[in-house]
Amino acid sequence: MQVLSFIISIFSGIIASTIMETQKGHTHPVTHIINDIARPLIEMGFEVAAGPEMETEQYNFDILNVPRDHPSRDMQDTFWVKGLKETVLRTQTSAVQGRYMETKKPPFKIIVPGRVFRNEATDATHDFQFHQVEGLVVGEDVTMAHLKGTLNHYLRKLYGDDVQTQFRPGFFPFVEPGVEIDMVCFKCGGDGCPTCKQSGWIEILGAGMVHPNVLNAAGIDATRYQGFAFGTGVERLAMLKYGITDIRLMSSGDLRLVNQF
Amino acid sequence: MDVSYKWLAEEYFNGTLPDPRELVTRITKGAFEIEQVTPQGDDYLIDVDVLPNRAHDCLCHRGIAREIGVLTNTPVTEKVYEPVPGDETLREKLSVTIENEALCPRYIGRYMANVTVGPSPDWLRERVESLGQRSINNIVDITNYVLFGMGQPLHVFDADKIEDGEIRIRSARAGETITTLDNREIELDETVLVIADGKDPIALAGIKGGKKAEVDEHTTNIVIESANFNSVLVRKIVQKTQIKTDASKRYENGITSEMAAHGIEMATALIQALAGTDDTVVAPCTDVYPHSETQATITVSYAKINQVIGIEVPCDEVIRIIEAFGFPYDATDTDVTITVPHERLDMRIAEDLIEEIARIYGYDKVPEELPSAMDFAPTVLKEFYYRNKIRQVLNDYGYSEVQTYVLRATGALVLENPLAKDRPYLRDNIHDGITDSLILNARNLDLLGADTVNIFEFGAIFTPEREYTALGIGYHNPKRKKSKAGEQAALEAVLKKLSEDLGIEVPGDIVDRHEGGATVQIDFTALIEVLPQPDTYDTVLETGAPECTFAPISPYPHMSRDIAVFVPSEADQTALEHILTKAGGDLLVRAPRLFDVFTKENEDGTSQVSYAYKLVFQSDERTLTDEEVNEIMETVNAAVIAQGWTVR
Repeated sequence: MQVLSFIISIFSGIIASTIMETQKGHTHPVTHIINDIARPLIEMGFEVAAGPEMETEQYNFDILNVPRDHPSRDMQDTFWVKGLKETVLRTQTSAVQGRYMETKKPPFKIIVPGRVFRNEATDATHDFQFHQVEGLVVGEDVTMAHLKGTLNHYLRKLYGDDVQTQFRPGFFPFVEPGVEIDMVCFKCGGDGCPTCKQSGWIEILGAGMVHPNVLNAAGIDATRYQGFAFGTGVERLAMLKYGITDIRLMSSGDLRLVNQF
Repeated sequence: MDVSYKWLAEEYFNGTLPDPRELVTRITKGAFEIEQVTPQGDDYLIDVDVLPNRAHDCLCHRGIAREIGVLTNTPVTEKVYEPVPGDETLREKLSVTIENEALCPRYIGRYMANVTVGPSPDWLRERVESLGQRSINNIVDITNYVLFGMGQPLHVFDADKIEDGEIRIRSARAGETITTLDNREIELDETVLVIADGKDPIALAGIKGGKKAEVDEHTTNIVIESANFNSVLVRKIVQKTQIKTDASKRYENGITSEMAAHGIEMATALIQALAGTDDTVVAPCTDVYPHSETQATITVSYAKINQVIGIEVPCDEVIRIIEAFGFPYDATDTDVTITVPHERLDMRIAEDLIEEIARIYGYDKVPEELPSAMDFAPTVLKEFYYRNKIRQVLNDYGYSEVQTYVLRATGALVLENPLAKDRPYLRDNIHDGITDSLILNARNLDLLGADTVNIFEFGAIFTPEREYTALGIGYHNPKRKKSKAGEQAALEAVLKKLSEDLGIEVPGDIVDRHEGGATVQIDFTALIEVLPQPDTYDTVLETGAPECTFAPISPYPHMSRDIAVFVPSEADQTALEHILTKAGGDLLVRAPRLFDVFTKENEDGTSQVSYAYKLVFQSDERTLTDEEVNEIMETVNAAVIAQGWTVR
C-alpha cells in the first residue's frame, strides 16, 4: 500500500496538471549513484578518468600485481575475446590505473567510473555486467589516514553526517595493506536486519595503499611516492539505497525500473 | 573454510576461548570475514572466509588458532610431534625419485609395517565429522585430521601394492590412465604430474590417490606421503581433470615445503598410536628435498610504518605485535627486522609487515585526515561531461535513460568463453539493444502511463578496429499505424534539439525498425572530439537525486480499462480522480490517467465536461481475470453514478 500511494503521489500531480505536455524523461539509477559519488570527489579536486571496456591482460591483471596462473585471477572470472591477443572484457575499473599512471606523473587524484564484466552465473545479486567507481590518489605523503578521511568525507556527503564506517582487513592484489570498508546498515542503523545479514554493517568499498609493485610497473618510483586506491560496486549501492531487489533489472532496458527515478 | 570451535578451543587454547559471538567479532575486525556460524551439538561450525593471501597458512585449524592468539593476545598451545628416527634396516623398502624438482620441490615417503586398518577412536571420528567429513577408517581419518589441523595434505598407499617398492614423481605418459579412489578413469598426458610405482600411476600429484595402491581393510603395510607440489601445476591439473579436493585447494594456493616434515611426523605418531600393533615397525623417512627453502627477512623502519598508516604507532607497541605473531626479530632504535616464518609465504616486503602491525594495532585508531594540498590541476573529462550534458538535454526533452546488455546474439567480436551460448558476441551497434527496449516498453505503455516510448542509452560498441561509445536513441509510437506514427520525424527532432543545444551538427543515421519504432546511433566518441573542452562540470552532474524506494515490478500481466464520465462543469476534477482511485481498490496500480477532455454545452445553457481516464490493474500475486476486473469496473461505475454523474 505504501508503494501504491507513493506512485499515486508522484503521478497524480503530473496528470492533474497536464495532459499533452511532454513529461520529463528519467535518469537511470546507476547514473544517479555514479554522479552522487563523483560530485563530492570532484569538489575535492579529483579528476575523472576513463579507459576501454575491452582491455589487455597487461592492464587488467599484470600491471595490477595479479600474476599469470595465480589463484587470485580466480577471484574474477574473466571473459576473453576471441581473435585478439590477450584481450579481456575488463573485470575491474582498476585496469585504468596503469593507463593513467603511464602517462601522468604524480601527484594526482582520480576517479574512474565505468562498466566491468564478470563471467559468473547470474542471479538476483550477480550480473555479468555492472559498474564500478575506482579512486586512486598518488603523492609523496599520501597515507592510510588520508584514505580514511577522503572516504568518510564523501560518504557523509552521500549518506549524511552521521555515517559511521569501519575498516577491516581485506585482500586485493594491487594494494597492501588492503582493507574492506563497512558502513553502518542504513536500514536498521546497526541493530541487525536481513539487509545486513544481522551484522549491523554493510560492506561498501574495497581499498588499500597502492602496492609498490603497481607503482613500479607503471614507472613511478615507489620509494618516493605512495598512494591509496578504493573501489565500489555501483549497482550494489543503488540496490541498497533504493531497495531494488534484482540487479538484472538494471540492464534490462525496462522503463518500469527507470521511470521510478 | 569451516573450522570447529571445539577443535580450536581444545587443541590450541586448553579448552577456553571467548564465546563464539565475541570470537567472530574479533576475527571479523582483525583478520577474516565470517560467512556463517552454525551450532552443531555442543560445538559451533565457523565458516571463515580466509583471504586469498592467507591461503598459504590459514586453511587449517592451526592457522586460524594462531590468528586468534594474536587477536586476543592469548598464547597458543600446539602439540609437538617428536621425529621418529625409524629403523634403518627398513630403508630399502622404499625408493623415491623426483624427475622434475621444479614441479615437486619436496617428497617425503615413509614405510610402516604391521598396522591395523580399523575404525577411528571416538575423539578422532568426532573431529573429522565436526567438519562434515565422513569417518572412513583410522588411516584415512588421520590424514584428514592432519590436513585440517595443520594444513599439510597427506596420502597413504598400501605398500604391498606399490610395484618394486618404488615411487617416482613424474609426468604422465600419453595414453596412460589412472582410476581414482572414487572410481573415475582419467586419461592422462604429459601435462599431468603423477605419483607412480615401478609401473603405473598410483596418484594424481597433489590431488587424489588412485585405486591401484588403495588402503583397504586388509592393508597391513603402508607408505605415507607428505609432499609439496608446484601450485601453478596443481592448478592446471585441477582445471584439466576437473577434480578439486581439499588437498588440491591447499597446493594450488602454495604451501611451504618445510611443513611436509611436520606433517609426516604427526601422521607417524598418530598411526603408531591408533593403528599400531606390537609388531608395528617404522622406516626412516625417505626425504627428497633438493633445495631447502630459505627464510625471508623483512626490515622496516618505524618511520616507514607511520608514513604508510598515517599515525605514530609507538615502538613498544610495534614490538609487542611482532612478539604476539611470534616472528623472531632484531630491533634497533630506528628499524626492526623480522624473520618470516616459513608458512607465511604472503610476507615478503615492508608493506606486508606494516599491514600485520596496522590491523592488530587497530584500523579504528587510524585518524581521518584529508590529503594535503596537491600540485595537481584536474581537467574536465569531455566524455563524462558531455554524456551528462546530453543526458540532461534528452531528459528535459522527455527521453529516459536505459541500459541494455553488451553481450548479444550477433556482433563482430565473439567471446572465447561465453556465459550463455545464445549471446556470445559483443554488440557492434546500439540499434538492436534500443529496439529490444522499445518493444519491451511498448507492451507496458499503460502501466507506464505513456503513449510513446522515448529512450536513450550510452554504451560501448566493439569492432575489431576500435571500441567506441555510441549514443543510441529510440522512439516508438505503437498506438498509431506505422505510416502515421511519425517515428523517424520524432528522432529527426531529437537530433535537431541536440544540435541546437550542443551548438554543432549532430550526425546520426535514423533506422526504421521493422519490429516497430525507429532508432538512431550517434558516434559519441567522434562527436566529443569536435566539441569544445569545458573548464568545469558546472551543473551537468546534477541528477535531481530521487528520495525513493523502488516499487517491485509485478511479474503478472496488467489489464487496462477506460472510463469516461460527464460531470457538471463546476465539478472538481480532483474529486472525480479521488473517487476513481478509491473505487478502483488495491489492484489499481497507478493514478487514473486522463487521456481525453471535452466540454458539451447543454441546451439549457449549462455545460458538462467529459473526462476520459485509463485505469490499469495488476496484482503482485496472480494473473487477473476479465471477470475480476469487470467487477471492479462495476464498483467504479456505481461510485460515479452515486455522485449523480453519468458514465458515458
